[in-house]
Amino acid sequence: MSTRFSRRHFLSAIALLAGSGAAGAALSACGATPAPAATQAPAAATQAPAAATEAPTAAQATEATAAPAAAGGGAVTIRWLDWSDQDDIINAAIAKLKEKHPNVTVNFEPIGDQWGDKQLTQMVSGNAPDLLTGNDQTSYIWAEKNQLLDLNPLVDRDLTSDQIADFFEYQWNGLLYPGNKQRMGLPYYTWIYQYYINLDAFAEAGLTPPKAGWKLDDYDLDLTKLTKKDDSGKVTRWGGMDNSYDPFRFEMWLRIFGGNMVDPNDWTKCVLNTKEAKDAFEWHRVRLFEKNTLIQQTQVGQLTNMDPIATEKVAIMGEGNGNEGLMLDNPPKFKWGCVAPPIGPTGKAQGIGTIDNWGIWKGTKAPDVVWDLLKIVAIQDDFQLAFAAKWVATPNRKSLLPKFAAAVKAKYKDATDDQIQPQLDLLTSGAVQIGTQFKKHKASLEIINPAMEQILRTGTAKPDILDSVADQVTKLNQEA
Amino acid sequence: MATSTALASGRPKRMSSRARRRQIAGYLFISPWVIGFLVFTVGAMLFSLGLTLFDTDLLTETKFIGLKNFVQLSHDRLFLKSLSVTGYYVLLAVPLQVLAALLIALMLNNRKIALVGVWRTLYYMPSIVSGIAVSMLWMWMLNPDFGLFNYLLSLVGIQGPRWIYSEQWAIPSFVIMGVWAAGSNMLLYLAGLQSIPTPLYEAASIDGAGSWSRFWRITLPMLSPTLFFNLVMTLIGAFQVFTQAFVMTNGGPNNATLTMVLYLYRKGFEQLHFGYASAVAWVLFVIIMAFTLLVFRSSTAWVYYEGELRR
Repeated sequence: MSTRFSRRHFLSAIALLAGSGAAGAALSACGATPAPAATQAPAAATQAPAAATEAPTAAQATEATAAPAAAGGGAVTIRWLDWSDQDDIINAAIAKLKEKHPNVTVNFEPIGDQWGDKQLTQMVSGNAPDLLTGNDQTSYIWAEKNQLLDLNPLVDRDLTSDQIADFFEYQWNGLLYPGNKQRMGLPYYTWIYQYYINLDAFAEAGLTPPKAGWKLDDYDLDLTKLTKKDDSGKVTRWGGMDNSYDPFRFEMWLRIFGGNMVDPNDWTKCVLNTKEAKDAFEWHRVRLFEKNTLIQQTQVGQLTNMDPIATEKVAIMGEGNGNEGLMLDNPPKFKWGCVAPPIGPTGKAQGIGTIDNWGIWKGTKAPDVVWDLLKIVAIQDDFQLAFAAKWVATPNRKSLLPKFAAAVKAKYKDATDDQIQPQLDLLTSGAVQIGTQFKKHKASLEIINPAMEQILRTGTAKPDILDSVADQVTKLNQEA
Repeated sequence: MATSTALASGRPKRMSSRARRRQIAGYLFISPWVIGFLVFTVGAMLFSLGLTLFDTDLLTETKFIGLKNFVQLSHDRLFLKSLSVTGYYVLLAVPLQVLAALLIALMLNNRKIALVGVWRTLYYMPSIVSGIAVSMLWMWMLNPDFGLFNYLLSLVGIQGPRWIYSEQWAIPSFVIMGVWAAGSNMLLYLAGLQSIPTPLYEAASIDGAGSWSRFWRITLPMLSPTLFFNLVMTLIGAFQVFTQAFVMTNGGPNNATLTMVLYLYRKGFEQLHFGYASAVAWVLFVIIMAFTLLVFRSSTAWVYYEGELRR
């Protein structure tokens, strides 16, 4: 038996079945339902339907309040959910919007923990924020579930070709949802993976610090020579730490070896069983668990963020460029610099970047107003530079990179070109790509993650297990 | 009071207007809780029961599929894994937590122990620390290379296991964490122990009963209602184990800590299969209910209530 309902009918029917519709309406007027948090997850799992029970009520409430405002053509209230706090930059952006739309009220909502769950709950209840932040974890899901406004028509209407060309191609193109090519958002900033290096350690070991274009063999040699042991043979400093052992970041390593996770021509096919992909895993496995020139997860202990390199536990560390602010805010005792990922067997430079963005909820009652706010934060130079400076993450457009470098140097007097320039060069090199998605991405990760853990985190398996993993993932994605 | 008067006279008596007003006031006072319970607990449960019959993400299309979610569960490899992981955890954690709390309470019931109040506080403290903070602390203690446990083991020449990084030791690690947080159970046992009338022990001693006999024939029976309560609550809590698996291992290594609640969280909030997640929740509910009923049924054989008449 297969009967189809509209979402509204379904939610209404279930709410009535539960006999809680009227009471829910009464109570929802009295107070808000708390969003599920990490520690509340067990309760959230059982309470999730409660939020859904309220869905018709909340959706009706939104319509009821928004309709007169829209009809009156006057006051409009929009909500902005962001992973920023409501600081001067946010307030300035709101003030800027009010210059054009004096009757608009913007209610800002800081994102807090478990923001993906929070957004989901809000969407289910038909009450999501109008402007919202997204990333590789969330945007694809919201787009698949038809929750994001397609920005393509607005982009075509308002942005010039020069403005579009100023964005980084990988990020601009990456914000097109693979399923229907809708534009999910505009870039927030750029986050790319790079290597932080202890220059003093290189000098001490008589090694030349790496520069862009360095080779995998150079990296291997550096890891070996930078690994220090005491008289008993106990490692006192590891050559490096590659914080890339999750499916998103490790795609960069797969590409360095000429492999992929998802078949570039078929998002239902997993290609982790190719020789190239397995070589990438094996290269890391050997250096983690046989040579131990790369530090293992358990050897890192409880050090977080940039602590492993800052405390000289490792001499090279792979991390996002967004973490550079931590190094600049708390300068380590040694000289340090940055470098792009090494070049592998393909001979081609590679990098990985995110699609962190602002999108617009499809249910918004004031799309043009929200689009104007989005244009202020994503396209106006002063706001974009302010956001970049705040996060010490590179801005979302090429033309802003020199100003960003100048702003960082102005803020941090000791910042050097070795620290700032490599990420700018990598961004403009065209080497950076985004992470790819399976058709059923999250379910695929349920199969891939345990295998990655066994090979790269616990060292209990070899890359041969990827044959079975690839088969399972492909089968999953090709099921109806 | 009106009720007892009516019973005493053997016929129903019309309630006075004052009594009726008091009754209405009573209902009004409890109504926030009752309405909240009906909507947010009973309503939510019925809603989730309804969801089990649908293939839905609650956002787009919703399809009625009858009992297919339950059928699919029966051959879902990961669900079956989560079932076995949860069962293993319950099997280890429940008896150990119940017994550990009892032993600690028995020790701390002795007022002759120096600084007994301090010890009681120390043992109770872990149970009021947030789950996330506890998880972070234990990640350090259980670190195979730098953790406290393996350091202590190394002092006696034992190479410790890899704890949460090992498929074999991950669940036992969680069990140890659970035993460490036995404070709240311990507190209930202490209250139970202190409510046992002293004359019972005095009489037993006069009759020549030794300490083991007094424990077995007085303490344990008199404490059995507390033991029963702790057993039920620990059992329910153990089936719902989540925070450690979510924060410390994310279900790994190789799904060794993929508990049922973590699995339903993933299905619901990560993959948006709310019908399927609800089916997992209801299977878990039925399992918990079955075990709880079993404990309730068995309680007639081993739980003793003072003043209770037995045939």
